[in-house]
Amino acid sequence: MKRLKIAMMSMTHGHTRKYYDVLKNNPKLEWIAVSTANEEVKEIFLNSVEGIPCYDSDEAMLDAHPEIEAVVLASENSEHLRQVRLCAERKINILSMKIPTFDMDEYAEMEKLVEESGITFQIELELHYNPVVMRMKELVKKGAVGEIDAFNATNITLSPVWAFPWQGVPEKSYGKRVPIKESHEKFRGGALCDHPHIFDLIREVTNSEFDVIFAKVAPNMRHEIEEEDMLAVVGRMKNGTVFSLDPSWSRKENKLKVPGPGWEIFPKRMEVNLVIHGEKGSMLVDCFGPNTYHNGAPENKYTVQYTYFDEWVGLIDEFVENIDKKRLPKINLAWHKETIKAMNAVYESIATGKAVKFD
Amino acid sequence: MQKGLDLLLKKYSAADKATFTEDGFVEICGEKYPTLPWESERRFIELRNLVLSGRIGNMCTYRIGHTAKKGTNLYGLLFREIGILEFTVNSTVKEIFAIAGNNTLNCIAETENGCVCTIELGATLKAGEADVDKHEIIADNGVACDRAVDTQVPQSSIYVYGKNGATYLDTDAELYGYSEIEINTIRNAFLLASKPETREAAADKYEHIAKVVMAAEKSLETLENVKVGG
Repeated sequence: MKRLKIAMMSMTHGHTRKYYDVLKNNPKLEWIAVSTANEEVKEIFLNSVEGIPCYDSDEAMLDAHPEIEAVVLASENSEHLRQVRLCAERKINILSMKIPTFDMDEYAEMEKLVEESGITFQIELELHYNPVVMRMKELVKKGAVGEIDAFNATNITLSPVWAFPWQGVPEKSYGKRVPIKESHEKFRGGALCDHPHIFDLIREVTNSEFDVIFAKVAPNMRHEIEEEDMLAVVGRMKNGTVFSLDPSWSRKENKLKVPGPGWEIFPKRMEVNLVIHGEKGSMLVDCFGPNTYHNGAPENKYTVQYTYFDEWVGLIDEFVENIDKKRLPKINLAWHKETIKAMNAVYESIATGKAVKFD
Repeated sequence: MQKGLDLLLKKYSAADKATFTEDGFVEICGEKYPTLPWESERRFIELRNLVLSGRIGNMCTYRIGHTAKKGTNLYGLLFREIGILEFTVNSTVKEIFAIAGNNTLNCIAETENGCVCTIELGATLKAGEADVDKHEIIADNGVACDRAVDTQVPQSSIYVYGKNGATYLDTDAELYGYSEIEINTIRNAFLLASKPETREAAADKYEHIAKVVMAAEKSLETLENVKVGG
């Protein structure tokens, strides 16, 4: 069996470590190399994975390994366009992190580069490979709650800024420094930029696009960071489904440099819960639960130990198959553009204090 | 409920007699006053205490969800949840945005003390199904919630499996046998009867909550964030 020759770039993204196992163990892949953005992530990588060549720049890696066929862009959002240019000119397929860019001119350039080069460009939205989400979609399709009337979802986590500092820098996360609203001390680029999943999921589940979005920023839980960490979003889809989406960093964390045991202060690091109301009833969904629990080291506090977490297996399988069969990925740039537009509309609504109406 | 109220009035020699009226108020000394049952519900009293004591810090957001039986008046449900919000964070709603589906109503309300609250309401359950609700206050030093971490539905005190399967939630020995809403309504009416100074305050709160609900109705019509009383 021919294996796909794959590499990773930057290694600064919070999901970087999720790929270690799948890139090493997936029989369809041959992990060729990585490039690291700085000494800190280089050291973390070298302490975590053995036997994979590590380069100090993307260009050095690509020049040394012309056999590379695909790359995981495990980088800060501000690096994505540069790396897409690099890959497109070498016809290297791309698995991008969840936010290609918030700048719609950059987004258009990425679309052009991908189209002209003919490469596969897939965006990492791992909820699509979550078994609970699969079941929920199946139940919705079967009409378990009838026609959907409301879709309410949380995508709430601890903040990754201490372990992945670029997420706390507006220019690197959002792409530029924009105050969240007039005379406000916080900037765009925080929790919202980390949580596109529920904005994507509602589009797929309702088979509809955003019609109205209203959002508010709340006082920060973390006063020391520059970006928003608490916000609320409500609105309506074009088919009439109303929604409430919470993409906050509302779970407190210890300021670890490398994620691991003891990261959480609130017992549960992350929650994606859905309440779907339909004409025939309601469905409550916990995409990451139930779990196992402990009060062991290092904090000796009651803690949720995540137990079912294998989204990256299906995600990588699909990426390999999309390249092999020259199939357009489900989460491609054209599809994902409406999700990014909705997230930009959240920032616009916060800034203006008014609902944003889509054409 | 009157029997339960009479029991408390007699036992504790309340200042005045009190009688429940058919329209849901309580009559004391010839005047009708609204009951605010949530202010006598222990889980909300504890949430309020966690806020007032400063243990969870300064307000950030508040997540309220309540799924009730089909046919429930969503504005009535909003009235209750606004009351719970204002009581537990010890502040009043200053503005609200609302959007509605057929049997659903979602709002973002902001209080004077800066708390941004989402309220997600649904009226979809069938007869015999218990309401599902959750109140989670998220502040800068911690989270206070009336539901357990990593659960989705309210818990009960007793679960009986087998032929006589049933669940029970018992929270008040003195008023044993009454439902939660009955207990809280009786307790609140007793408070009004035994502490005359609470009566006008209850009437004022009731009037203010009604204004918040009216603001939500206006928001539904205009698709705008509406100032309360504006």
